[in-house]
Amino acid sequence: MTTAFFAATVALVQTDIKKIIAYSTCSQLGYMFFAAGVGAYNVAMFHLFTHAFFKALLFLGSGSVIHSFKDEQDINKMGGVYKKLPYTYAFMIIGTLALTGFPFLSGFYSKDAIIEFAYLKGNTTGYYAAGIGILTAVLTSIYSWRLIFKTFHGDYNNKKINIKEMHESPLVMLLPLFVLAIGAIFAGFLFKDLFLSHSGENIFWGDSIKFLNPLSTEHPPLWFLLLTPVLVLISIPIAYYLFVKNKDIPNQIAQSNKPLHNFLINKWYFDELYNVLFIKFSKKLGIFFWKVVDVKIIDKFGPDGVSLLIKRLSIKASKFQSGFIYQYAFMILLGFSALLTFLILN
Amino acid sequence: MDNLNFILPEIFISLSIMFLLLLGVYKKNSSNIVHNLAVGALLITGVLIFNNPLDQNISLFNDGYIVDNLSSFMKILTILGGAFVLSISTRYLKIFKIFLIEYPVLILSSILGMMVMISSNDLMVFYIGLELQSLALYVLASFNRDQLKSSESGLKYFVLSALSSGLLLYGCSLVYGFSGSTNFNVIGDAMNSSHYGLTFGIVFILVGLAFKISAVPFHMWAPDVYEGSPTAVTLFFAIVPKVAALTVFIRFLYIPFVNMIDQWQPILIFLSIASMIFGAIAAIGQNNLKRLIAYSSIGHMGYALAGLSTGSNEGIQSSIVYMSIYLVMNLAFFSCLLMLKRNDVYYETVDDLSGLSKNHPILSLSLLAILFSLAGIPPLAGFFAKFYIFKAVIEQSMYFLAIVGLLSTVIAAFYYLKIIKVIYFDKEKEGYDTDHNIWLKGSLTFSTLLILLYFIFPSKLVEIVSRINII
Amino acid sequence: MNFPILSSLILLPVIGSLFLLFSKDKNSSTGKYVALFTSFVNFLISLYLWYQFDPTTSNFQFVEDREWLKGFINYKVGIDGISILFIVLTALITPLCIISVNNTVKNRLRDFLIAILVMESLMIGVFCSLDLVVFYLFFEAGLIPMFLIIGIWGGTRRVYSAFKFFLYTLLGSVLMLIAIISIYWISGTTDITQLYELGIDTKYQNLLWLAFFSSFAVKTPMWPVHTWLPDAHVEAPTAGSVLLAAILLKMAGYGFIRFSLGLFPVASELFTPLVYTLSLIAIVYTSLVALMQEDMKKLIAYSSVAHMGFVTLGIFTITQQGIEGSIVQMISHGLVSAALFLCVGVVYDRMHSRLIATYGGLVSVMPKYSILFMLFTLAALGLPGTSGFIGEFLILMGAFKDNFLVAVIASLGVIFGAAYMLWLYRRVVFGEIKNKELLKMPDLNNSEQFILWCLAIPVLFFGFYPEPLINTIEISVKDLIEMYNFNLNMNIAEVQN
Repeated sequence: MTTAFFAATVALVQTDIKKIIAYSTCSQLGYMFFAAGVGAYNVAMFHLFTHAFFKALLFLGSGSVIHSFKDEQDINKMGGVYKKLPYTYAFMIIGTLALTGFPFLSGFYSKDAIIEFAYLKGNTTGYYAAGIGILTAVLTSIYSWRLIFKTFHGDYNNKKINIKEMHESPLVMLLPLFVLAIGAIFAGFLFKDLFLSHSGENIFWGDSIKFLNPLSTEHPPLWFLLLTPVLVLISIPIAYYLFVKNKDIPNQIAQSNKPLHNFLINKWYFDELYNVLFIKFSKKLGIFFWKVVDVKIIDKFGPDGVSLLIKRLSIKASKFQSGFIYQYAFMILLGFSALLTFLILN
Repeated sequence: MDNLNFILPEIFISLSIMFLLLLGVYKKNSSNIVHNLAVGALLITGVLIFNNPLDQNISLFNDGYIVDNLSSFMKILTILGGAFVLSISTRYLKIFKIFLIEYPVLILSSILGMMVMISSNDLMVFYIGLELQSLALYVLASFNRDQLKSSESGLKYFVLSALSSGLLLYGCSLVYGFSGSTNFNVIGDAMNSSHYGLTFGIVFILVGLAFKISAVPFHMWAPDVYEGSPTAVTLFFAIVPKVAALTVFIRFLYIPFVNMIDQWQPILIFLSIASMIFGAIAAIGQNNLKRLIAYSSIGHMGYALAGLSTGSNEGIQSSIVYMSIYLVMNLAFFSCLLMLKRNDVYYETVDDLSGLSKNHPILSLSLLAILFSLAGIPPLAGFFAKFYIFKAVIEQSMYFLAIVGLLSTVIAAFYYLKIIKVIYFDKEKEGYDTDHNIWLKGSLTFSTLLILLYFIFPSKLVEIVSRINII
Repeated sequence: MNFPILSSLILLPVIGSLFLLFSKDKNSSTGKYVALFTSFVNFLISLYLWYQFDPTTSNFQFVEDREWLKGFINYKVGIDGISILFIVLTALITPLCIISVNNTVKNRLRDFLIAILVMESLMIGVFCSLDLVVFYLFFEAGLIPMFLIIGIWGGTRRVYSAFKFFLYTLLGSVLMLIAIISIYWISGTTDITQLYELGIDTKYQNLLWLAFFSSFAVKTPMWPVHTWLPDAHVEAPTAGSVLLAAILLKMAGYGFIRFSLGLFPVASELFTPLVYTLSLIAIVYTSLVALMQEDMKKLIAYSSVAHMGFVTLGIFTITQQGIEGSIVQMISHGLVSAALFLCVGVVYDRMHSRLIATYGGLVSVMPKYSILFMLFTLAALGLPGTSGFIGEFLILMGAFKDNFLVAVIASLGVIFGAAYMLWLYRRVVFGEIKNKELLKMPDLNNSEQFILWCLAIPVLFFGFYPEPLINTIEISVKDLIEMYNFNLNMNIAEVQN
């Protein structure tokens, strides 16, 4: 659940269209893992299944947008093209609706099933997770609609391309979007019984999923069931207001909460944390091992040290050979007496 | 009446010495003839030695003279060494204007002295041979009268050798006094360690012998004498007297002193270790090749002595094998040295070898093989020599000696590598002359091939030497 | 099979080098063709050998036994599953080296080729020999040509590196010589097959193991005696580095399996913690050092130490997977590191710099090179699908069986391996071109492509289908472990009695 929350907060402030969708993916995966965590494996699989449709739709749709903007990915440099790119706009809206869990589209069934099962778990973790889940759903809705509004509504912000040149993408790009849109709309409704089997029977999955504890077949109270969709619906006009009508408010919020804003835009500083913790540390260790241990210690005492020692000894030995004959004779006598002494002592 | 047939080689060589001397004195400009005849005389002597029966111990002259496998083998080594020295040094001598009749005569005399030493079984006979050999060597060392270095080296050798001979003679007299005879066998029977006099005598004698074989700490004459003598004489010094000295060591240690092995074994081990280590370390800074070879010989003698110190037949045999391979290696090395001449000037420092590989590839390749063999790197002959020694040493469980020996091999490898580095890695100098006499080229080729191809038939030499059993 | 196929494998390169020796021209290309022909024929013979090899038995095959030193040492060669792969590797790498010489060695080409051919003979001899002294001979003799290769054709600090390499390795090995002679004295033979049957008396095993260890540890190289390797690799010419990394290092690993495990089982058991510790330090330590290198060749050199750390780890797990893994890893590393050095050689030939800072953005100018370089980078870090994965995975499996903590730390090494290799690749190949000189660089020429593809194909093939490799070594390794355990149990039984 933490993943879901984290990714949603980061997606809120990103400016690259694909990054927003990427963090959204990360967020939805958090949901899936959570579902697996409470033992509702089939629900996780169901969300995975529906997510495939609308996320693919969103990505390809954003690809279409990027193509139209001639490879521009920054949503701040887009805007106001919903009339120019009608089909793309339509498909993106469908995808967003599915993602946010708009009632009766696919995401509604899968995502809300996850939140329901969290609630049904009954313990503190369950309630906590359900709460986060709902909060994240709201955030999801906000950032998704932010993306739509900033990309397709408002002023046209692109300096490089003339708005008259804006045209819709070719059919080859729109066709896959159409197919995916069908899936995004209907997949949830059509397959929910197969995957979720509220009746407690397990026909589809059979033995391929092993449930430790059978899932409860109860339903949470009605107010809970309605909570998420209502919040999601409300967030649409809120987002519209924030991102189209009065664009200053988000900027002001950002300015007055600069540290929070930076924290979010830098993805909670995860990369920087890893950098300091692992990368810098490894690098320092690497340099230490190399310059200090290898060069100074091993080489100095090993090959270089030994060869230096021998060189010194050799110089001494050469000096020893003085050239004076009396010294040579003396050495003979010295050696001789040493041997004699040794023998006598033995 | 002893059968004089067995000393036919010695008789022949003495007669040829006298004949050649007379020939040289009475005939003008006869240096060439004398030289060639001397080589011939040596070869005939060699043949005569072969004539002696093998595997029999024959003693002559009241047991004062022995003719057995050891003596025959070593005599053949000395003769081969002498023959090679004579044949390859002609050009050198001519350039230095010392191509005189005395040179071959002196070499022959020295060899005669060595032959007597090798076969001696009696203190007096031994001493006679020793003095004959040494006297000839004194003169040879200072043969190049006009060069200061040569005279100096001859003088140094004479003085120090006289000192050591004096010590040796004193030792002999002590041994005679306390054992009652000069014959080795009788001395051997009379040996027991309760007599301090005998122990003293042994030490004196060993010191004298160690001097001859240039073992540490009695080695100090070697670098100067090697450097100062004319290169041809250095070659002779490096190979032949060492052979004789080693034989005498063997004889002394294993016949008269054989019962005192507990006394002399530590001494030998000490001599061996000191020589190996010193020979390895001191050579590193040397720039003159002859001096460097002197130190390298000191090291090699350390290894040979290590084989002797084991007290077993295998040890003796391994020392003899080592000596033979050492002889071939040094012969090869000096042949290379004698090729380093340009415009009648000889060069003998390491720097002169710089970049030799560019101008003289074959010569460099031979030097490569020789130097790696001296260092003891397989698959060259030098490795096998060391291998046999260490095999004998380890079989007697003398691990410390083996480890020190191998470590000093590694240290010594450094200066051999340094020379190779200079030959191959450094910039080249002017080329050297390539008109060498055929004997020089022949001896280099022959010895290098022996070193390179030894690994194909390594047992041949070992088989021959294994018939030498002293204990 | 009476034809002495192993001896001909050993002798053929020497004969080729003799041809070269007696040719007059110093820089001719006919010399190159002779060398190439010889080594290629050798490669074909080795493939034929592999084909004829019977993997269902662990007995030594193609054995030749000739008297050499009477009554003492026989010249005995033979192969079993463990050695044959190395022989094929050697025979494969050498012709590739000779082709690569096209671009790198300018002067004294003939001498260089002679040195490489002689090295090939000696290296094959090491893997074939079935007698301790013969093994030692080949092992040590290989120092001579390598010394010359580094010293004559190497970089700026070549003299220092050549000496360091030679003397360090020699020092390690002399102790092994004493051990070999002692073994002769204790057991009466130096023949490996006989020694396997006789076994060696337990009370000597520890010291003997240490003596052999000193030699193999320096050659592997293990930490802390590894410092010669970076110097030697950096200063050696490309072909020299390739031979050094691909084959010379493997001789030590082979030695560990054949001798330390085979002859000294009790001591191996005792010293396993020591080897584990040193291997782990090697893996982690050298990977970190590799991370911070600025010279590409040094980085790959340190990575070799790390990979060999895995190998020694795998060997001393003494499990079927561990040893199989280490053999496969050695083969794979032989191919991969050869290729990496050749890749570095390619850019060095063009820019004469090995510093990473010189490069960057090569992908735009040299796409073919980038693909091959990427393949080998991934193989080096053990990506599944490459032969590097098979080796590493089997080693880790063996390690997990033996000691959990060791395996965990070793797995860390895999991560570090990925770190430095990928970072290297990114800095050199990806990114923008900052250095204007790079724009002029030509992409791989035909011979370079040929060499790299010859290495890439086995890496990929064995990555997906390692069965030929595993099949060859399986029985031999199994019987080795059985023999090991048998000796070990006999020893325990003796001790208890």
